[in-house]
Amino acid sequence: MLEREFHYYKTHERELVERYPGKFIAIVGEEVVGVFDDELTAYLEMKKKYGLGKFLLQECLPVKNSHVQRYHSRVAFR
Amino acid sequence: MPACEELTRPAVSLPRSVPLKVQLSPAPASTAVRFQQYPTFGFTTKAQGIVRELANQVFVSEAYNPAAGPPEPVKQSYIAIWDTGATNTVISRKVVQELNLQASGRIQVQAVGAGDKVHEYETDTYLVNLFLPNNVLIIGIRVSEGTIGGGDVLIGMDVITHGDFAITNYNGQTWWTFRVPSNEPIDFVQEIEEHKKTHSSRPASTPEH
Repeated sequence: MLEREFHYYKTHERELVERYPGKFIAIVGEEVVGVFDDELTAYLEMKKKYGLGKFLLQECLPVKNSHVQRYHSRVAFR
Repeated sequence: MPACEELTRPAVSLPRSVPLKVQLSPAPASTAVRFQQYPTFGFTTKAQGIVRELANQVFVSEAYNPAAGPPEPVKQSYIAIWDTGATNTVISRKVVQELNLQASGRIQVQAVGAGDKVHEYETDTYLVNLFLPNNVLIIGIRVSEGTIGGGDVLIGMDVITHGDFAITNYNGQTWWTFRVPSNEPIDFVQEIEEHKKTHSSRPASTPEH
């Protein structure tokens, strides 16, 4: 799910972080449809507007690989 | 999960700024602990013997704002494993299915496997509320989906760094304790030095025969 939206974020990460530093953005397709200060507000508002599973929320952090998590044990991903 | 006893101990501290919202239940003033000015909660789990995984029962629900009132989404109980080797919290597919969660994000994950090989994947993320045993509700935490050994929730450093977490194995019994928010540093070296000073400053006593 949301592969298209995530791909859009990754390929436009630099400009999105410059434009919305520290904000949570909501992406539908290849369009930013909302900008929020916190993720819960973004989630609840976008859920009402678009329905769950239709939007991607992403924090615009000026940190390299901010969308990468690391696990040293106990967990496997497919 | 090992046989264990959980104790809830109100504590207090100067809250620090945290990215996630933490809701604390008020602590009875009469049970406040040392050095503390503001209410905090903590819990201690006491295992019977040494354990090699730190497991607690937690509840998970879809993210919601408790201040908004009912209706609240369904919450279910799961076994959670504490893992300082995980940067973030993970839930299993079972949790996703039972709570009917829908993805609200994606993330790239790096999992260290056999031979120290790092495997990279992309996975969905979900926004949930996490109810810890110490009556602390973590609101709107972003979790990813993965397969977890020994439980259905992996509590990562994103939660652990909300407070203070410690593990001891005194007398062959594993205890772990967690409090939110962080209260004061724990420094074993400092404790040892203070212990030495205290004992070396005592006047020499006459040996008893």
